[in-house]
Amino acid sequence: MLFEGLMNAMQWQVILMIIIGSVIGISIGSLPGLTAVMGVALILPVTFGMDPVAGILLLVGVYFGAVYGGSLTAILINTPGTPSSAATAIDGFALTKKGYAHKALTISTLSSTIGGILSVIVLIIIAPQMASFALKFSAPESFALAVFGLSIISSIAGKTLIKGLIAGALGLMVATIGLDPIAGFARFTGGNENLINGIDLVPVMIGLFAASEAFTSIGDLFSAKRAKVVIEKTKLKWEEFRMLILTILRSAGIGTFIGMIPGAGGDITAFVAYNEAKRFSKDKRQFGEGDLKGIAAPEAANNSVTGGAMIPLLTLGIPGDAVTAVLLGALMVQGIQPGPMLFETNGSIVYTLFVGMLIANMIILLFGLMGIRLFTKILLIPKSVLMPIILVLCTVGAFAINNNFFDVIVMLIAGIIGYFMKRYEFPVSPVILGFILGPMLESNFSRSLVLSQGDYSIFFTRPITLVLLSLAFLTLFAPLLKRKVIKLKEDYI
Amino acid sequence: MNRPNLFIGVILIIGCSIYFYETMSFPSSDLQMTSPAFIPRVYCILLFILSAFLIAGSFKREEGGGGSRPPFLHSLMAMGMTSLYIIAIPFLGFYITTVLFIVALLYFAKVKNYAVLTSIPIGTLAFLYLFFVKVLNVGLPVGSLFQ
Repeated sequence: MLFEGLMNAMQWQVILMIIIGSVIGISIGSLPGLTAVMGVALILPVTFGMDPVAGILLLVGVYFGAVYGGSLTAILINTPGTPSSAATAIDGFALTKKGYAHKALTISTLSSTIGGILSVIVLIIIAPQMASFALKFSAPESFALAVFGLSIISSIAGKTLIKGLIAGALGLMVATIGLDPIAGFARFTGGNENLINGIDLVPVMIGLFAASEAFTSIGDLFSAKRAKVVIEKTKLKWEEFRMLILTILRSAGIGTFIGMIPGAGGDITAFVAYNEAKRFSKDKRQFGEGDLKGIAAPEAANNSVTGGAMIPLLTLGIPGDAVTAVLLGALMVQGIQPGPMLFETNGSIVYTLFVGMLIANMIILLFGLMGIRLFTKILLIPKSVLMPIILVLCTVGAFAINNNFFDVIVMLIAGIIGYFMKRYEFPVSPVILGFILGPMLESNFSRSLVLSQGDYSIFFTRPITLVLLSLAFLTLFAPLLKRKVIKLKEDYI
Repeated sequence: MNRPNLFIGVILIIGCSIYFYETMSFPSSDLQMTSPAFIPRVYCILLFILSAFLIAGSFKREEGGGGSRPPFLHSLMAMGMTSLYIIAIPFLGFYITTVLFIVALLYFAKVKNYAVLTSIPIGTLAFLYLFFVKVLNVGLPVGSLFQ
C-alpha cells in the first residue's frame, strides 16, 4: 500500500499543491501574528472543490511550512513568527548578533526537516500502538507535564534564576485572567468583556519579542556604540552537524511523543527539547549565548510535533491541537473519516498522505537551504528603515488574529513591558512559558482533584505522573545542587 | 545597592497585594483547592516570596558597579509614537495613520532621503493590502471618520 501511496503522491498536480502550500506556509509562519492554525483555516475553503489527496496535502504543506517559517524571523530579528519558535529565538538571535545568521538558518532548516521526516516515519510505523499509549495521559499526567514544562525556566532564565522565576510567575498570573476552568467564574477582568476569554497568547508574544526589540533597536540608533551588522558566510561544517545529530534525534523523539498528547503543542515541546539539550550538553554556559544545539533542539522538536499530532488524529479521530482540529474538518469534508477503521477503508489515501508529508518536508528543506542567502538579506536593511515596518507588522499581526483591536492594545502593553524587562535583565521567554502552561496546569490540577475527591496522592501514585514530577524537581533544583556540590568540593580541596 | 531591583521588587509586592485582594471576592467551592481563587493565590504567594528575594538581593554590594545602561529617552519616544499611532487607528483608519507613523518614525530615526521616506510607507501599505486584505481577507480598520 505504501508503494501505491508513493505512486499517487508522485503526480505533478499533487506535488504542485505541496509546493504552493509550503510557500504559503513559510510566508505565513514568518510573519509575526500569523500562526499555522490561521494559515490552514484560511486555505481550507480553497480545498473543498479539490481532489481529496491534493486538497489535504495543500493544507499539510501550509501546516509544515508555517511551523518551519516561524524560525526564520525568530533567528534573524528575534521575532518568533509562531509561538513554537519562541525557544529558537534564544540562541538563534544570539548567533545572528555574532554574525552567524547563515549557519543558524542552516541548522534550523536541517533540524526542522529531519525532525519532520522522522516524525512521519514514526507515524507510518507505529501509529496505532503510540496512540493508545498517548491516551493514558489523563488530567494528573497532563498536570505533571505542565509542571515539568515550567521547571524548564531554570534553563532559560539567563543570568539570574530569581528573575527568570519572577518572569515565569508573571506569565502564570496573566494566564489566570478570564474564566476559571472549573467554575467558569470571570477573574481579574475588571468588567472588561474583552478579558472574559483571557488574553490571547499571540499579541503578548508579538509585543514581548518583536515590539520590545524594535523599541530597543530604535534607542540603539542614537547610542554612541552602535553594533555593526556582520553576516559571516561561514557554512555549517560536517563536524558541527555531526555533533548535533544526537540532539536532533532526541528532540525529534520528544516532539513526536508530546505531539501525540492532546492539548500539548509545538510551543511547549520546543522548550522541553531545549531544556533536554542543555541538560545533556557538556558546556551548558554556551546556551543562551548562541549554542548550535539551542537551535537544533527546539526546531527538530516543534517540526516533529506535526507528525506526532497526526497520530491520534488519523488513528483515533482525536485532534491534539487547533491545527489538527481544522485538518480533521478538512478530512471529513472530503469524505474521509479518521479513526481506527481509516487504514481499512481508505488505506490508499492514508499512505498517499504519508508520502505527501515526507515530500512536504523535502520541499521545505530545498526551499529553506536555497533561500538562506535571500533570508539573511533582511539583516542588511538599515534598522532605521526596518523597525517602523516591524512595528506596523506587529500592529497588523496582533489585529489579524481575531479582528479585534483590543489585541493591538495588549501587544503594545506587552511591548513596553518587554522593553523594560530586557533593560533590567528579566528574561521574556519564561513569561511566555508560564502563559502557555498556566491554563494547562490549572485545569488539569483542578480536574485531578475532582477525580480523586481532593486526595493529593493522585499526583504521586501514577507512574507517568511520578516520573514527570521527579524530572521537574531535578530540572529545577539540579543547578542549585550542582553549585552547592562544587562549592563543597572547593572548600575541601 | 541595586536600586532598579529594589524598585521592581517593591512594585511587584504592591501588585501581588492588589492581585491577592482581588481573589477575596471570588466565590468559594466545596473543594477548597478547586475554587477559582486557589491557584491565583498560590501564584501570588510564589511571586511575593520571589520578590522578597529580589529585594533582599538588591541590598548586596554590586560587583563592578552593576554596569551602565544606555539612556532610554529615544526608546520612550518611539513607544509614545507607537501609542499615538495605535490610539489614532480607530479614528483615522489604518491606511492614513500607517503612512503618517512610518514617515514620522523614519524621520525620527534620522532618515532624510525623500525616496526612502515615500517608498517605504507606500511599499509597506501595498504589501499589507495585498497580503492581508486580498489574500487573507482581513478587514483592516477604515476609521470612524470615514465610515
